[in-house]
Formats: sequence, structure tokens, C-alpha cells
Amino acid sequence: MRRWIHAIDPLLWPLFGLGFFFAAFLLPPWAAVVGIAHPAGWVADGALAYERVHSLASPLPGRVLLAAAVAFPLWNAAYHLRHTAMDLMGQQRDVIVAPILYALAAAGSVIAVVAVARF
Amino acid sequence: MGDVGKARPTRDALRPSDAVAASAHPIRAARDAMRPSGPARTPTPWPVRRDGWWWRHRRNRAYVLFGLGSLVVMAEAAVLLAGLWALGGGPEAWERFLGRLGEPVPRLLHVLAFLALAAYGARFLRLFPKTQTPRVNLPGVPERLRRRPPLGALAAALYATWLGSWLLAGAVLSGALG
Repeated sequence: MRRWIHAIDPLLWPLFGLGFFFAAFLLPPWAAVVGIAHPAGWVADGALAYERVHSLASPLPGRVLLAAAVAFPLWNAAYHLRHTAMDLMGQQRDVIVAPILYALAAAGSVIAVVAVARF
Repeated sequence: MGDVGKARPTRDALRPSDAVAASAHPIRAARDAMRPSGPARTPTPWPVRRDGWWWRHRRNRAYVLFGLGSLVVMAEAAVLLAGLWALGGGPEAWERFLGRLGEPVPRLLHVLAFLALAAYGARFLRLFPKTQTPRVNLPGVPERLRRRPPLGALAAALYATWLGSWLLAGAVLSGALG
């Protein structure tokens, strides 16, 4: 298992880097508008109405961007958390931690693709 | 050690010491003196854990908190995924999703998540220029284009793009644009 985890590391590194960009550039506006401003009533009426959001999200570029905005941050977080866990808990548990985190990221990525295909 | 001085067949025959052994004045005694008697495993202990090490120094704290910030990234990506799933479920599912985000606890968590994501992104953009190679060896490209821009300029451009993307995405989502 340890050898396998090391072998796929070069594939995960670009996902880690891309995930940083998506997490830094897209997740904060999403959290600010949908999680803070809309419940507070600071957003224009109808801005988050189903029809408008659906029309923004359903073209192909929108679907690709949204799937990427879920999948890449998940891989970024999995990679980063795994290395933080190694720093805090030592490397013994990596054979357990790494498969769990990467499985979560893989499952989330697949669900994201399915979710944007359902629009 | 009983085979000291004897010629060893096949693989070992290519070693430089074999050339010495085959010469007119072979050095017989010392050739395999340090050879282990059998396959051995070098014991490599796990690094010693120093409990609480990361909280004692400011730099270590910042480093570990940056790593733990990825928990927030994972959680917010999961919220976005739930939103996409609700959007695919039709108008009722979408309204239900927005209604859940309007409850007090999710609102408070989103304020904290926003602050954590902002700190996470700011630290990443500060570190990113330092990870780029200082010079790219591309044939045919002028020398001035091969060199990495000054770190300060690179960081300033990244921060400007960062804030611009926030404004653009926020304006589109909130209906101020598009």
C-alpha cells in the first residue's frame, strides 16, 4: 500500500496545485454570496432563483467549471490533510489515512460529475 | 566467511575487486571482509513524536493551521456539491437547499468558513511565487522571458487576480452582473 501511495504521488501533485487555485478563487465568493449574503437579504431578489442559477450553470462551460470547483479542492484538501496528518501523527498511520482521504476525494469527484450531468 | 578469497560466479564477477583478485598479485584476504553473512534489514525507527511541538512556535502554528485549513476547503466543497445536487433535483430541492443555508448555525459556520478560506488563499498566494523555478531553459525564448518575474510583482499580480475573481464571481452570483 505504501509503495502504491508513493507511486501515484506525481499524479496527485498537479491536482493539489490546481485545487489551491479553485479553493482560493471560487469557494470564498460562493460562501460569501450563498452562505452569508443571501440569508442576510443582501442579494437582489431572484438572483439565486432556480431558473437564473440553472441558466448560469447548465451550459457546458458552467458544468465543467462547477465540477472542477468541487473536484480539485477535494483533491487539494485530501493531499494537504494527509501531509498534515503525517506531521502531527507520524507516518505510521499514513497507510490508513491516505486511502481514506483519497477515496473521499475520488468519490466526491465522481459525484460532482454525476451532479452536473443531472442539470 | 568460509568463502573468503574464492572466486564468486556470475553477478559478482563484474565487480572491480574481481579484477584485482584475478591479477598476478591478488589481494585475497580483505575482499569480502565486510560482506554481511546474510540478508539483513537496517532498522529504521519512526521519527520521535514531540507532542505539542506545533503550538509552541508561531511559524509552526501557522504551518499546521494552514494544513488544517484544508478541512474547511473540504467542507465547503461538500456544501457546493450539495448545492449542485440540489440544483439537479429541480426548483423545490434548490429552495430547500437555500432554506437550510439560511438557518443560524449554517450562517455562522459560513462566516467562519469564509474567513478561513480567505486566510488559506492568502497564504497560498504568498507562498506560490517562491515555489516557481527562477529560470526556465527554453531554447529560442529571449533571456528576459526565461526568468521568473520579481517575487513581489508576481505576488501583487496574483493578489490582484484573486480579488478580481472574487468580485467577478460575487457579482455574477449575486445578480449584480449577468
